[in-house]
Amino acid sequence: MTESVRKLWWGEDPELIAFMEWLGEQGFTDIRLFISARKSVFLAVQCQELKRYEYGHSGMYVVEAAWKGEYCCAYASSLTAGSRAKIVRRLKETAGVYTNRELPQGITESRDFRGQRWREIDKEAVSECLMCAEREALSCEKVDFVEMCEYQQYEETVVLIDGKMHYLADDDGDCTVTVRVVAKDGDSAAVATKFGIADAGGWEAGLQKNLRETVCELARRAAQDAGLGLHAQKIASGRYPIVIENYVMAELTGHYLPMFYGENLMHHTSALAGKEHEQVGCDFLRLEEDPFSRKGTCRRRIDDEGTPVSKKALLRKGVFENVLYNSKSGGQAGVGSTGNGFKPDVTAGIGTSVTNVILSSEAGTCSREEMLRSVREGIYITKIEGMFAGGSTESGDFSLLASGNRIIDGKLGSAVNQFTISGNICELWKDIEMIGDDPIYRTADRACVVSPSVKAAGLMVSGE
Amino acid sequence: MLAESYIERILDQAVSCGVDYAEVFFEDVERTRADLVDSEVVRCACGCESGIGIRVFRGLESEYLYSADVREECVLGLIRKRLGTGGVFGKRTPLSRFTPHGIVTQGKLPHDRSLKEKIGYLKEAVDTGKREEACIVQGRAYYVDADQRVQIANTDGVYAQDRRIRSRVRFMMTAAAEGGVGRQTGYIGPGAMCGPEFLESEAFLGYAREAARNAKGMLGARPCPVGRMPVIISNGFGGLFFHEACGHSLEGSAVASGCSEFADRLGQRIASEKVTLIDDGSIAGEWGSLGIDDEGILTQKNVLIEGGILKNYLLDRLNAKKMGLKPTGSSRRENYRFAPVSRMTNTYIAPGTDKLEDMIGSVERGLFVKNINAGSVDPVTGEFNFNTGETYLIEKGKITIPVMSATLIGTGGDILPKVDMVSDNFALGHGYCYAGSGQLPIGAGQPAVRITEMTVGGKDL
Repeated sequence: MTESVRKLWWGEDPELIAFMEWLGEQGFTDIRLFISARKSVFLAVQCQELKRYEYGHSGMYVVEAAWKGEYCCAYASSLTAGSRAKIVRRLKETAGVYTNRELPQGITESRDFRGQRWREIDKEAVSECLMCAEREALSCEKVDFVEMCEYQQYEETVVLIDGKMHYLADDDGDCTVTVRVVAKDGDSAAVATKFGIADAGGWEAGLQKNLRETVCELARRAAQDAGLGLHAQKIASGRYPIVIENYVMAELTGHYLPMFYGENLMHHTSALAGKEHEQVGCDFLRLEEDPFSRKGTCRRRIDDEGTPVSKKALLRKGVFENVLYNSKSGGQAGVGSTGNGFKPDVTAGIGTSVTNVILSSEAGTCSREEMLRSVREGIYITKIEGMFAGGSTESGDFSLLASGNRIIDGKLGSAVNQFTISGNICELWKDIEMIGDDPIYRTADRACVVSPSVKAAGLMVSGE
Repeated sequence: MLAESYIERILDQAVSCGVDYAEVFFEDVERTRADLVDSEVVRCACGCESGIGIRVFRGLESEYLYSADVREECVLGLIRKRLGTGGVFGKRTPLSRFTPHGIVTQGKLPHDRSLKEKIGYLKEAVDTGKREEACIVQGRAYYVDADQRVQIANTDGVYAQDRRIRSRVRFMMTAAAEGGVGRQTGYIGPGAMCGPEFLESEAFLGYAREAARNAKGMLGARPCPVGRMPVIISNGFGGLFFHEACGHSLEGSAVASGCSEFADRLGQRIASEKVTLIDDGSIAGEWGSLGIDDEGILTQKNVLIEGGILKNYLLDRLNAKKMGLKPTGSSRRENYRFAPVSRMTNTYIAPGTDKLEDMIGSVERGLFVKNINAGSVDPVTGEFNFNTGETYLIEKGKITIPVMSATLIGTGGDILPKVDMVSDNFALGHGYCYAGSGQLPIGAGQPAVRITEMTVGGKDL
């Protein structure tokens, strides 16, 4: 399939033409085909040896159509005779079960937004870069083991085709590296993980050097952070001012993006329900979706429904500004899609998601040192765990395992761990006092979230 | 399914690349998903997927290739291109068929009931839940069923087929206090290794009722207190506590590389004598079961901790080879896109002799956790966390008021010795586990257990 979807002119693909015609002969109308093709490669090094190498490609055909005037939908991973028969059976079965579902729209003009995302890599050369990073980490003080030193690359191509063989094509993909380092000193152990983009744009000698530098730098930083986490102490329960490291703030922000989704607001399963145009954050907090930002990793130009993506503010000066819609929720709200109709996974129906989301300040930024200096006694949070279960988008509440360092008289102190932080994301947004100048990206589901570190007035801490 | 002769040609192609071991996994799965909010079908996805995964070992190095295109020229070409050619031509034992455990209970297949019939059952259940308590303002149901057929063969001569039929629903019922201020959502997520009998069972409507009662019980919940205190975790899916606190740390991927707090500790005491932990993927009808694991080994009952002593790990072929031990029939993967690794199946604490009333009566001030939402762990440090659902305060030996969901934290090594009471009311719950080889159905169970003291993360000082 991967080669099939690489053809420039979809109308010339005999397999697809035959399939679309065959669906018509079966009595289906208003046919729209969604094709996803994905390639990925993964390498992991441990103890100076390549431990895992994985390569593969997968794909899916999702058919939307009308059967006797009613919307229907089904998917299959191939177009063999057996799969075609299953598609037809499931299409007929799903007709009429959806509530208020409009029939698929035709595509007015064929467009191809694909870039060249995939790079054939030299397995040995990538392994050597990862081994170099492992050596780099192991040479640092107190580092005991490099548990993870990995390279991952993927490319996903998405195509929409209608019954007239008009099409829209787009793609996305990235190359990432992950290093996870274990530091030990006596009975004390600490772990630090660092992620980075290894999107070097090709695999020539000079670009291989970029990968080596990127992954070695990550290894050094992971080793440094793991060392800082050793001999962590307990902390007394109470309310503390906090500085949240950029990567942690990006994770928090990414988790709560569904609060902006139209379907969740309509179903009252968002903590922002009923708060449109209200002040929900501090008056210099900005949160925006920007598909075109160079800071983010998402490169999509259309969503999975074929609607163009667009730049929009979610929070402007702390005010809840825009709701994110797919075509169904946008239609129900009477405003149309905002270009946020994405599938949560390739076999699922259309949901809502985002491209690049960027948290920033509308009133200047501070360095991390300035933020720390403003705290007499507090905590610098460098790691949170339990977001999946411990953060509710329905209430905005969170209660999470955390670790980091004490802040004493404006300076970083001893490591602290085994405590929880609890609060509410809207209260945290309101409590933000300073926003850092150190934005970093993090992927959240299919989206990319960019956030700097922030300082907040206080969070409840449960420790000893 | 693939012809046996084709599978043999794939294995031959793989061994011609000079590998020590090669394995073929093929799956053909048909799924149905339907999400309802009240009586509205908000999302529905039905279809089929198939694909192949080929794994080889060279020493302790693992290489994995996968493809949705299972045509011979594609698969053999993929092996030639990615694994190379030459080297020493490996050996292959002729394939020999064996029969997996029969774990699918009852006889119906998912497609024996139409989608409209299934949605009818779901709507009836959501309505039943909403009628159960006047305060319920919204009912949601998330349904999934799957009919997965797999073929597994390897160069050791293993050839097996398995058919896994699963059904599951998550009910979420939302209650609102009078005046609409204060909402609480009750949750339950039962699953089974069977077809539409799951929807037709007597118990099905009861699940929706239970979610509604949970939601009502939590109305008026106060912020959970913070600090260290005794905690009693109720029976059933409360067993997720042990899944996180020590289960992941006993999996081969963590222990073989020495990255687990329980590595190299076989035969040592790691928990109180009250704790016997078992993982059993061979239980008929259970959501987390398999007839054979995803490396073609019969699933079995693995006693991991017995009377507090560490007895065994969960091992896949590669990690067993690294450790010089035998694989335990615990290797799993979400689908053909994932290489298999050792994962939990149905993991539970064996029942004890204590009575729940005595356990609650023994607590001066602490928490009673009736159900758990989810959790996670870092096997290296053993630090785990999990988030509670329906939770109550215990004061002077009695359950008093509901409290908002809390996060319980600790390390396995610290908490396991603190389990000082285990009741006799065993039950098994169902859910998913997300880890290295994808999202997997799991069972988690226990009788009620008491932990003498652990850190509770809430909002109330």
